Amino acid sequence: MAVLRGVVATHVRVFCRLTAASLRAYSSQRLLGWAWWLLDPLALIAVYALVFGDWLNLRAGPEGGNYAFFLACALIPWRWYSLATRRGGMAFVTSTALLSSTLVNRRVVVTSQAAAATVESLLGLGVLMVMMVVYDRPWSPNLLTLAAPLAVMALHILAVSYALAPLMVMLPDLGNAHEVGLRLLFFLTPCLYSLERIPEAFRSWYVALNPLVGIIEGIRRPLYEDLPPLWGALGWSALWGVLLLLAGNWIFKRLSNDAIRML
Amino acid sequence: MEQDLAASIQCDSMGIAFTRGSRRAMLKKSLRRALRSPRLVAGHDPYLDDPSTFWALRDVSFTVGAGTVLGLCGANGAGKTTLLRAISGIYQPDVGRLSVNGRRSVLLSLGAMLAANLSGRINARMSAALHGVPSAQAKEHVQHVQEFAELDDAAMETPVRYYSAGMRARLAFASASVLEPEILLVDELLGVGDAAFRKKSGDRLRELTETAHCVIIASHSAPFLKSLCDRVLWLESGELLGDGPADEVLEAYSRR
Repeated sequence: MAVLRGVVATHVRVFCRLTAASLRAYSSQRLLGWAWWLLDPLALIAVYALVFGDWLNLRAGPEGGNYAFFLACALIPWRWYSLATRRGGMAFVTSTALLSSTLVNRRVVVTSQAAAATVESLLGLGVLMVMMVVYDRPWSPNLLTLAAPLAVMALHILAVSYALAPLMVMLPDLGNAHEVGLRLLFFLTPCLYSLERIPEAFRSWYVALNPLVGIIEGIRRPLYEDLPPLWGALGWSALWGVLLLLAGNWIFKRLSNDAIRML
Repeated sequence: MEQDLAASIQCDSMGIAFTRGSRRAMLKKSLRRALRSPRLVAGHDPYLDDPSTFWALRDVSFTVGAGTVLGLCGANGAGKTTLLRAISGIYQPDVGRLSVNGRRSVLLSLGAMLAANLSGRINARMSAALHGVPSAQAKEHVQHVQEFAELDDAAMETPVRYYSAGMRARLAFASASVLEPEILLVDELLGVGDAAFRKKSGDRLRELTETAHCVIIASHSAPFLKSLCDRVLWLESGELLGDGPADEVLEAYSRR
């Protein structure tokens, strides 16, 4: 038991150090450093609100509402997902020297990269909180339900990162495919538009087949509409998350030894 | 010098294979192997008989006990680094068995594991975490690294990308060796740096072996290996051609 505790403690220490190192490396290379973690989501919201809200007249829902805040509730979690799966997926490639010169738990390396992206995205969640104050949104108990979609999102990020990390070494083209896939998934997920825009006849299929719908709606509803998540949709997302994690783990276990030899 | 009591490393008919050819061929083979059942993978793997298989190590057997300074000699591509990576746990054997008992510390290339954008101090802390040093002792560890590496406070706060090759070598060697690992694996590092550092690192390796640690050093330099090692393994094209006292094996290696 003591040995197991020691191993876990070592993994936790390595995880914390690698995450901190990744964050420091990012900020030390930029003039504005950590400020970009705040500026980036703000700029993203501003650009999308201008293009899709003002120019293309997309609305938050049938009754209108504040489109910038509506967008922010989906864009910030989306940015977390895309940033974390990119970093986690590239973890083997970006940690080549570490992985090929020392014995380190490979899952810890991948998880720490995804965690660093998560920390960066936390400032984005801070932006959402500030917007809640600015737009006078109620601080109701429904906000506590945010924990569920955030946990399911973390599950998806880990699943995709574990699957991609060894595959990205073997097939660098997957990096391009991942980018294309993210772009497609972004427009197929209700980030810029509300779920009500999807014709009712297809909506249940849309929710069941796109694992991110339940998560994005689950984050947006407590923040924007003061409602709990759509539990059925979130359940589908969780089911997808578990299946993807099983698949990601299988790929990681079977391919990471070969991937390390290709580094 | 060698104590037969606590064998630290035991290697039985070990083989490590790589796939030669294009990335597509490697991917195809890896995927085909991955899709087979684990029971088949554990037994004889027919994909290892594939013509694209390149054996970096083949049928390598040896035992190393505590208190040994083992040298690895051989030409480029002989399999020295692959063997060190296998012992360090980075590579898993495809065939045969490798059993390693002891806390390992690895110096496989000059400061390779150092993060170039981070300071020497942060790198030393990272190394402490990687080697299982508890957080409470990390500060003390960094202090020892700094003293051994003879780097002042300003250097320790400077990103490693601004270090000279000698400074990197000192930091990397200090980070790996001040911990008193039970098994220290060193690959072609000690030829780098000034004469004083070379002497200091050689002395440190001797110190480590005196406290019953096991040190394995890969080098092209026969005089260097002769000065440090009790025993030498001679590898050629992945196969073990010699295993014995340093003088005998190095003489045979120089006559090849």
